Amino acid sequence: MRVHDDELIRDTSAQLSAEGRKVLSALYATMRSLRLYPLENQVVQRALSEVDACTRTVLNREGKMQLRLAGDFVFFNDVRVRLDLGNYASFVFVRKALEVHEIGDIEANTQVDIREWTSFLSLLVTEAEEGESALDAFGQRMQQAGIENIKIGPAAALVEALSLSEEAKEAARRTYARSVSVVKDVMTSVRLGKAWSGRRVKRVVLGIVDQVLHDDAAMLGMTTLRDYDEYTFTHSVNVCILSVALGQKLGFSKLQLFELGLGALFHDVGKSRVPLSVLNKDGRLDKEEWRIVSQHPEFGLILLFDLHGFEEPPYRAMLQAYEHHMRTDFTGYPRVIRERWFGFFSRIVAVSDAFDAATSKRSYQYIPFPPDEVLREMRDNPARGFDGTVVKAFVNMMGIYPVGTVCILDTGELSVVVAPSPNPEELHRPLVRIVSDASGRRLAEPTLVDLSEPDPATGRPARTIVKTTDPDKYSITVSDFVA
Amino acid sequence: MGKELQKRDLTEQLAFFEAYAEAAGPKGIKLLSRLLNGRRFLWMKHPSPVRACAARALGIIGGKDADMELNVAEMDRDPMVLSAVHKARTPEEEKKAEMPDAGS
Repeated sequence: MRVHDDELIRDTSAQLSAEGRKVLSALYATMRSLRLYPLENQVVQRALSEVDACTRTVLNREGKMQLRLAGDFVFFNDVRVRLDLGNYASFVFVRKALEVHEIGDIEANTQVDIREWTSFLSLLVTEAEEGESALDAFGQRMQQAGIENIKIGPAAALVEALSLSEEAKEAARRTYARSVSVVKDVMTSVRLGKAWSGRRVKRVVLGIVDQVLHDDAAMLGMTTLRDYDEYTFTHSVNVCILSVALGQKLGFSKLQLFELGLGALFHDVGKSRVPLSVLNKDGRLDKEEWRIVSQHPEFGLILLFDLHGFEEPPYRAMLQAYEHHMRTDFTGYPRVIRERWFGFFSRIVAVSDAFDAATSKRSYQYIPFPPDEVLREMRDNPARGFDGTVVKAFVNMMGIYPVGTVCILDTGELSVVVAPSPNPEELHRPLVRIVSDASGRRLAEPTLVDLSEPDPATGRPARTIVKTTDPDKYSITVSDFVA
Repeated sequence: MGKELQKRDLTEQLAFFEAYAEAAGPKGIKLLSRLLNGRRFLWMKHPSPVRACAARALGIIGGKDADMELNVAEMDRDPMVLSAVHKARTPEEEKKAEMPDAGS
């Protein structure tokens, strides 16, 4: 079963990625030749036939073909096209040609023919028209040329994308709720000694991976949905989302993201062997209780042998369950008596786990730590024993002020961070929702603001974060603004 | 242990076996001894890396039963397994002493 699923994921993604590269190369070759030769030239005609042929294969199978640009990434029918040195030049060329006309998205349906591709690509290699919107002008020229089966769209700005992503949020919310419910069922089954189905687990992990690949901002927003009573389950799902999102930023393949997600989702499965009285105890644990709790990584490894529905035990997930409390200096637990290889997946889960745990309200932690402080501590204090590279990538992903941080701005307004800045040099200027004005009045409709946007009058950013604060102090439910 | 684990590199395999030994304790001896000294289809032994990892894991568990399995493996002619059995029997302090200094 596992082999089949793995192969399916690998095959579909790899096939689409390869086809995407082929289409990019064909578009590049055609546009180059259109710039050099007249339309009737054989080189141009051959290149156009190639575009038609390789898009036809995808259209016949998938029913549509979409090429979407997002920063330095290109997605082909929602699968990220892996670029290497061999095809990077063609990608840059095509991206530049699209950017001139402010196009970020091309979608073709099955009716498209070689005539339409010819007209479309000929228009692409022309100069953009002077005026308000190059995209609108291009759209009009497409209409005049009778191109009906190719649609273009803008490269969505982050603020726009966030405002328009209600549908994505709803999908993320559904995935999140389903994942929590499955984790709850599994943990309860393990506690009762019942068998648990790997098939449902697989579906959940794949759902999270797909959702993160589709819209990681919406999924990361979900991690602010914290339920005090369901902490163990929501925590597992949060760690899974954070780990998969980080894996995606690090360039993992879909199969690797699945393995990482599976381990992250069940990193705490061993806790189902810990008595609830110990797990939910408010206050310090005594020596014996601590001994039991600190055994949960070992329990986790053994319990994952019972995960049915896989052809073989999920070895990497088992290692993640075992190693997620270990530190790079081997000060964590389980204690190791010798230096050992410490898996990269486990290092990722260790960081995500610590971040989510420190920023959540738990039975023995009534006041969670502010997310930015937690990140700073992880980054600056080597005694915490986190992998420096992973922490750096995590900070880059979350921003200096992670999603869900409540901030006071220099204008006196209160805001909640909803997404990190898309510009890596502006990590300290995230996207926020203004919750209340300078006089402390709650806004009926919280406004979305990009803190890196300059004030047209002064040329400098209009708002700056002065400090972060505790949401409870202002009776703010962070997830109302983020998730 | 299946093919998936055998596909991983030796360090990852060893990490898994060590983790298993620490987590399972003496209860893991049965499985590990089967991997170290047992026979598979057509009377073949398990692949050398798996046997070597199993030997190291038995060394971690220690005790009379684990030692008996290591004794059996000591008769083996596979150099990888023999080396692993030797390492499994070497106390940690000696292993550290055998390691060259970082500066040398």
